[in-house]
Amino acid sequence: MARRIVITSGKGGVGKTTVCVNLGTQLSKMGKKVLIVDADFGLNNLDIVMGIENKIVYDIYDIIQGKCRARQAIVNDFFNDNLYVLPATKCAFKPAITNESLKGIIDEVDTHFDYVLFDCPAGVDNGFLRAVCLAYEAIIVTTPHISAVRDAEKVCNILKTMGIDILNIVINRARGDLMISGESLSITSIVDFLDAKLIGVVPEDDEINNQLLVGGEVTTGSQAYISFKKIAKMIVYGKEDIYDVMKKYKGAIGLIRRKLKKII
Amino acid sequence: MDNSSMQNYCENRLKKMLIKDKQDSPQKVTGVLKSEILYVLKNYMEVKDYDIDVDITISDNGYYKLIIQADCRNLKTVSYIS
Repeated sequence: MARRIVITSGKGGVGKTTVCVNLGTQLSKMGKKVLIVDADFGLNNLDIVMGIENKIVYDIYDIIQGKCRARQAIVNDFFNDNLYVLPATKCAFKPAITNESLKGIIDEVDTHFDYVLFDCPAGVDNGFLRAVCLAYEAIIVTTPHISAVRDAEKVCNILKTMGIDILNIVINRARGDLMISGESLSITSIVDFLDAKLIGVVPEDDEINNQLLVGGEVTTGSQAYISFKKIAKMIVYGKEDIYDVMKKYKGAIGLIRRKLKKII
Repeated sequence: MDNSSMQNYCENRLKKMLIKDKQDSPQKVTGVLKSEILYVLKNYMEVKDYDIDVDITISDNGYYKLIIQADCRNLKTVSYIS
């Protein structure tokens, strides 16, 4: 049976889909067979981020309606043979999409995969609950902004109440220069507030922007790529190796970098 | 405001916000908690609904503090508790 992990946040725009896609990519590069389920019905963007929007023929709703089998709806990624996607329906309000119907689909397919990642919608309403009840573990994505941390804390409490005990945090869009100069919440304080295990820090990186524009993978060797690789290793092997976003801004050269960044 | 005090200000602001959020939720729990505590206590003592007072407060570190006060009329004899 696959490890089922929901990627959630509470607040929108913090990078759930980006984390989901890049984590799935890195896990698949490690030889794991990964299925990413787009559980964000109505506002689905996973296909665009992955650049597979033209490959989709069927979606989850078609499976529920009996128009196709689950295996027919699953789409293989362009770049990674081990990475698959189960696309969401474009309409959010389909009464046939129930927790039970979704659970039935996932139960049917998860034996073929090592990891099933759920891209959860923002908010804590029905869509969120639908995604969460399919998973056994959660990754809460937040940014170092007060509003995102506040929402992430609420989500942590809800997940604990729902019986999901394995809660991991990924801090996305972290700016090492601002953290060093004290203009951003620190990693330590975010972890303290959320009371969950930190598994990764992803730096603010222009390469992510390029990935979102073109679709597909983030450039190999970029800061974001390295940080996602570390997160994937942490998930698979449990070995703690957090990307140090402040490293390049430490010391004399780091100080020059920070000053230059302010000027530019 | 200098940068280090900005970080402290930000952390304090977030802390206050989270504590305030937590203060809103206990009201919903208190009623349910009270009836369940009463159910358990009745096995061991003579206590009425209006004798028990359940209160949840938030301490400065963000932890919940549960305070239960009950006026008990009589304790049941242990050997007779089935």
